[in-house]
Amino acid sequence: MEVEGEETECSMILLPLIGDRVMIFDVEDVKKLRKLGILGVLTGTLPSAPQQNVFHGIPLELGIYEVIWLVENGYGTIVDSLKMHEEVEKQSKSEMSRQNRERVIGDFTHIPNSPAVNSVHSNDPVGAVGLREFIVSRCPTNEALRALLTDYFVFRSVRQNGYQVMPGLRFGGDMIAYPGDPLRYHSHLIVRPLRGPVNLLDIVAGGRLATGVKKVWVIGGLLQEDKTKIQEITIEEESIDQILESEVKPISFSIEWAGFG
Amino acid sequence: MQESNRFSGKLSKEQVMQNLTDYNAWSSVEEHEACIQGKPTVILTGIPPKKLVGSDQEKQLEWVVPLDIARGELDVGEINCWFSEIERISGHRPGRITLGTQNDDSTIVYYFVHDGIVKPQRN
Amino acid sequence: MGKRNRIENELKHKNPLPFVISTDYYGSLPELYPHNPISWAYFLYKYISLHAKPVPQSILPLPQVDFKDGMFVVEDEDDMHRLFNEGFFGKGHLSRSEPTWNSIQQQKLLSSQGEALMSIEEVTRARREERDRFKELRTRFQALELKERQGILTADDINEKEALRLKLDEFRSRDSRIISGPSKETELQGADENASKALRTSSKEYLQLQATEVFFLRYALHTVDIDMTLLELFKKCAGVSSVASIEPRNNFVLEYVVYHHYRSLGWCVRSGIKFGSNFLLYKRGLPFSHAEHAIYIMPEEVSWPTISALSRVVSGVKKNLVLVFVETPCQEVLDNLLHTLERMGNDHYKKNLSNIFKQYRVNELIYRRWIPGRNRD
Repeated sequence: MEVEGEETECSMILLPLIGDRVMIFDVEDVKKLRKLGILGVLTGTLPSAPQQNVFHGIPLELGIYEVIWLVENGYGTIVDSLKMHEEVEKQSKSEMSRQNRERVIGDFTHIPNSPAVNSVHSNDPVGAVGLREFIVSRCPTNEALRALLTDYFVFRSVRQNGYQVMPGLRFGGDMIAYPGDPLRYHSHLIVRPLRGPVNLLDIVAGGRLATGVKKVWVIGGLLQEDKTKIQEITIEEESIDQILESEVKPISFSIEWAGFG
Repeated sequence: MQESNRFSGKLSKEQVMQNLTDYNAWSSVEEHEACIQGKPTVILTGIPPKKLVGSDQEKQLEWVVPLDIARGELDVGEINCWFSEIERISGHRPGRITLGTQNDDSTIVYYFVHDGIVKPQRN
Repeated sequence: MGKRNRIENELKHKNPLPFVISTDYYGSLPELYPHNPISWAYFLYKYISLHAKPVPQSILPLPQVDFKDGMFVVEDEDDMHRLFNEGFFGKGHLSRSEPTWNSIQQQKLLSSQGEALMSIEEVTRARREERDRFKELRTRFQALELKERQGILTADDINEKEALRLKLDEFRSRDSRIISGPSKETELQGADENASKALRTSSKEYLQLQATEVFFLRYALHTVDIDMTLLELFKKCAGVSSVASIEPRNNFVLEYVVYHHYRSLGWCVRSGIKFGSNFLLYKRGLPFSHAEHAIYIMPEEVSWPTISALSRVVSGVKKNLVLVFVETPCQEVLDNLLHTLERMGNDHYKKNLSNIFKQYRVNELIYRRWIPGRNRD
C-alpha cells in the first residue's frame, strides 16, 4: 500500500529485514512503535545486566503481522538491511575519507546504528522491499499464504478493537491482547485465529484456562458471504495487495467458563 | 455419508434438559427447533435460579446449545448460525449463548460464547 | 478425610474391580498350621473343594448394561453401586461422580427439618453463592474507597463502608468455605422444593458408562451383561455400521487401547473432559486421592498453542500432563484382522479382537512448562 499524506512521510519508520526477521536497533524507532501500540519482542540482553532475563534490550524483533500492519497503515517501510548498509557504508566511507578521517580508528569503520534516517530519503530508501514480496518470501506454499492472511485479519481486527497484541504461545493462544500498554494492564484476551474448525476439547481447555486467569478465549475466522460457512480465501500472489486493501472482517466469538454445571 | 469415527449415540438433548432442571435447578427449560447449516437440531431456553453474571437481568432467559463432544469439531460459521437461528426464533440476536458440551460419561460442561470480542467478567 | 470416613471408604471400595472372589463367596480357606498334619489335610480338602465349585462370576447374575438413546446405562440400583464402588466405573448422570442423587432425594423427603446432609454438589453450589455475595460486597466497598480518594465521601458512606469492612472481614475469616450452619437454610428449602418436584416428575438417576468402560467391562473382564454380541458392541463403540470402515486411528480404538493400557497397570481411569484431556488417572480411586495425571492422546496434527493451553490448565489443577503417542498398524494389516474378526464366529471374537489391539503400542511422555528463570534446580 502506498503512503499518502505528508505527516506520515516524515515519520516513516525503517523496518530492516535481516535474514528473515525484522529487527529494530534504533531506540527512537522502538519508542515510536510503542506509541503506535506495536510491541514486538525485545531480544537482546542489557549490557548493564547481561545475566538476568526479566528485562531485555534492543534489538526489537517484530512479528510478521506487526510488520504487515505497519506497512499497510503507512507507518513503516521494509528495507533489506544488507543492501542498505552496503550503500550506507559506501557513502559514509567516501564521506569520511573526505571529512571525518578521525572517526576511523585503526581498521574499524564506525557505522551509526541507523544511518539511513539521515542519509537516505525515508520514502524511497535504498533496498526497499515491497509488502507483497515480503509476504510471499515468508510463505512457500499457497496454503501458508492463506493461513498467514487469515491470522493477520484476526490480528488486525483485535487491534481495531483497541487492543495491543503480543505473541501468546505461553498462554496457550497465538496472541494475547492487552487493553493498553502491557506494562500497565493485564491482558484481557487469549486469541486463537482459526483457519478451519476447532476441536471441542480445545474449546474446553481454552475456555477453562482463560477464565482461570481472568481472561476470555477469543476465536476468530473468516466467513463466506452467506455468513454460515467458513471462508477459504483463495489467493494468487498478484492479488495480495487487493486482499489486504479489501475490507475483510473476520468474525470473532469470546468463550469463557459459564461458572455452573 | 461419512461415519463419525467415534462412539456417539445421538445427542441426548433430554439429558442436557434434565441436567439443567434437576442438577442446576433451572426453570422453564424448553426446546426450540432450529436448522444449522441445513441440519435440523434443537436449541434450548431456560431460566437459571440466579443471575449467571452480575450484569444479567433477574430471571433472564438463557439460550443453550447442546453439543455432543463426540462430533469432534466446530467452526465459527456454525457458531454464527446459532446466533442467527436464535435471532430468527426470538426476533433478536443475543449477546451471548451458553454451550452445553456433553461427554459420553454424562458430564456436561457449560461455556459462554459471546458474540464478538468482549472483556472478561471480573471474577 | 476423617478416620471414620476412611475406614468406611476402605470397606466400600474393598474390591478394586467388580469381581466376586471365590473365598468371599464360599467362605475363606481355613488357617494352616505347618506343624499340624491334620490342618494340612483339612486345608487341602477345602482347597480342592473350592476349586471344584464353579467360579462365582459364572453363576451370579452380572450387572446389566443397556444401550438406550445412544448411551450405555445401568439402571438397577445395586448394579450401579457395585460398578461404581468396585473400580469406579461410570458416573451418576445427576451427580458429579458417584450416583448419590436417588438416596439424597429420598433422605430429603424423609427428613422433616430439612437437615439432610449436604452433597458435595450442594457444598460447591453454596460455596459459589457465598463467593458471589462476597464479590458483590467487595465491589461496593471498592466503589466507596474510590469516593474516599476523590474526597466525596458522605457521613452515611463512611458508616456503610465501616459496616462493609466488618462483613468482608467476616467472610475472609471464614475462608469462603461453607460450614454447616443456619446461613444455608434458605438454600436448602429451595433444594427441597426441587427435590419434591423432581420426585413428583419421578426423575431417577442412572449410571452412565463410557464406551471405553463398557467395552473394558465386557471384553476384558466379562463382568457385565449387555444385550449384544462382542462384535456388535465393538461396532457400536467405534461408531461404525461395518467393521470394514474402521481406520487405524479410529477414535474409539485409540481411546480403548489407552484406557486398557492404564487399567492393566492398576490405575483407576476416568474421563478427563473437564480439563480438556482424554482421561484422568487416579492412583486408587476418587475418594482416596486426587487424580495425579491427565492423559492426552496426541492427534496426528497438533498445534503448539493447543498443547500449551492444555499444559496450563492441567498444571493449574496440580496434575501432570501426559502426552500419549499411539503407534497404529497400517490399514492393510488392520483390514486383514478385521476381516478375520468378522469371518470367524462368536466364539473367536475375543481372541480376534485381542489380535487387533496387540497391533497398537502406547508411548507416553510427561510435558511440563519450564521457566529457566524460576526453575533453576
